[in-house]
Amino acid sequence: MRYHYFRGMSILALSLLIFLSIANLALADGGPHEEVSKVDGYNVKLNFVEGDPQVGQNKLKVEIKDVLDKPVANSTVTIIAELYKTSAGTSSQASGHSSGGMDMGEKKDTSTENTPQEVLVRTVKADLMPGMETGEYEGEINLEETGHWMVQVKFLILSRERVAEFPIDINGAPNSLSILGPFLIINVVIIGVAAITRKKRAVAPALEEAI
Amino acid sequence: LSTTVKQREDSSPTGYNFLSNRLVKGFIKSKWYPGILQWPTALVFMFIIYLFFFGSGLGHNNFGTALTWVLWWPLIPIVFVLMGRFWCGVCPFGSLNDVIQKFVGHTRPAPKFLKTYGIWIIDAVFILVTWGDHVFGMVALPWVSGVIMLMIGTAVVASGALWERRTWCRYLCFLGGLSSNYSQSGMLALRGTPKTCSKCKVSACYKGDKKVPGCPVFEYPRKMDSNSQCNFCGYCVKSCPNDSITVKARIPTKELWSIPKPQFAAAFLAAVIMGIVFVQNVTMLSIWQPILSGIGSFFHTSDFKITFTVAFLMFISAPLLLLGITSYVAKRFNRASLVRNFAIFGYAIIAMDVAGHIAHNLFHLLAEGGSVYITGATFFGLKLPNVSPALLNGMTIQILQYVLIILGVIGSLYAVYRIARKNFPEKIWATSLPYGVVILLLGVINLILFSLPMSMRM
Repeated sequence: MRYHYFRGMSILALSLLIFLSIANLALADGGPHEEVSKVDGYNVKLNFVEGDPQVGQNKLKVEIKDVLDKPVANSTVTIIAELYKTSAGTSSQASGHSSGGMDMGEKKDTSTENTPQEVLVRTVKADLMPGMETGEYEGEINLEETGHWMVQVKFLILSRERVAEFPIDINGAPNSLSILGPFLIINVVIIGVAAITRKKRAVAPALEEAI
Repeated sequence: LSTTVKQREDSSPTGYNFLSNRLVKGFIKSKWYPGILQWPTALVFMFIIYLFFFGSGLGHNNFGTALTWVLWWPLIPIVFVLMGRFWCGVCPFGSLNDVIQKFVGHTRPAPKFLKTYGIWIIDAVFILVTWGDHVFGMVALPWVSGVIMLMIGTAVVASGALWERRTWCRYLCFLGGLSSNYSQSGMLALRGTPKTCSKCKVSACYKGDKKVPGCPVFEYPRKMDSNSQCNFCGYCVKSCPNDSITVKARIPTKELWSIPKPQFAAAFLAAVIMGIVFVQNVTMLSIWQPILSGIGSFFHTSDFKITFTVAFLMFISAPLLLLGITSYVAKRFNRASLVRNFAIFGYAIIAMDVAGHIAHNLFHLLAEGGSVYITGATFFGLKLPNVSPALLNGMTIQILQYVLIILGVIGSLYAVYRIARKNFPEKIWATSLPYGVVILLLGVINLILFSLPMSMRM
């Protein structure tokens, strides 16, 4: 009897492993995504803790170290994410996001007729809270669309604000047809093989089984 | 034989027989049932799959996500309580299984391995899907929901092509495992009439006849003592030559204390579901981030998959451990083994599972329910003025949640008492007491969790 339960539990564990592997193959995104940038000697590490940045809520962790590689505590850290899209060039909202510094979010009229421009279409802001370790700051940001985002980490040290920039691309959902295609093929193969190998209809199962 | 018939008569539900209504009986016996419900459901399902892949890429803007996770998922446990596994009778995956089987099915017998251990696979997949919901963002990313549906669909096609009847639904479907547990606390029971069935020589209800297939989920109404598998497809009602089948109302949770052969794996799933209700609640609370950070600093990692998995395992093991320890304590009073105590009293938790599950989803349904028509209107190109997705205010939802949890606690406590009375008539209170304490503890934890403000997911 005990052997029976032990075997049941083993099947549970084995099934978990198998399905976990299949799910990982189908849906894996390759672990946490980390990027590093330097501003005025400060080392800023931006970590998307749940893996590659994705559409929707993203959990973030920022690590700031000074020139002596010591964690920077008691800083006020804010994240500003700006979504840019390429337009045909007639917009007056184009912004040169690589200018960095304190002028982010300000819209410069750099449009040129019929020249592709990067247009700022959305800005999202989130304040980070101090994390468990000194120099770590955590929070969430909602990146609501696919596309090219400029994520800026603003941090205030000794009344001076600095900004580290991280260009992030969110690809969003994979091409729907590239998902549907393999599933369609697998199902067609299963149905085809079943149709070819099918023999005459089996009789009803023995009644004894139900009793 | 007469003793068996007498026992069956005694344990049969005594409520109103819905088949005594000519209209209901006529509808179930008609050739249109259950197809008239299966086909529209299948069409809606196909539309949802389309929305997952070709609708908005963001969960809270996707009409398919709203229909599935804000409307269907919260309603489904309510359906299980009111109508047992009726949903399984009209489920699009079940219909897909039937179609594949009809045209290319090998109709081989379900493997013995599945019959013995299928419930453990169900337990594993259920745990995994809940885990995957958070790790892969099933609700937030519609295409992930779509992939899960396609994976299930492919498994159903394989099962339908290979094995007879609805082997998938009975032995492999993870939602079937959940519905199997919940429907045991349900208010509807299908049974044969013991006296009539005792004289029957044809057993058409199980085997089928020339016009109607046999029971798709391998049940034999003549011997049925549980409604955990019946999906109310009505085939037995159509094929029975003696008009023996009844569909009666019964007291909710009644079946939990009258199960003749309790299964350890079903009790295990009942405890796991309680843990999953905890996880689902905690992840929506402000204490969730500190919990993850604490685990992260303990294991020196910031990998969400690892911290979440540890937290997830902690929460789903807590009720298992509690039930295990309580069974060990109860063993000292009633002298039954730990495994037996776990198996028979684990069913008592089902009432609280159902209550906790409905209470949790009530928040999604009533606080975010408006997202169904908001996303629907957007999909069809209509512009709605600024409308709130909330259908009721937070206080009202919270009161409903408390009421549900209290009802669940009462149901579970009463089930514990009845199980003890049936199995250990000499030690009713000594056995009931430790389980009663655990039920109350789980109830208090649920009440605390529901008292904290939750964040929305749509």
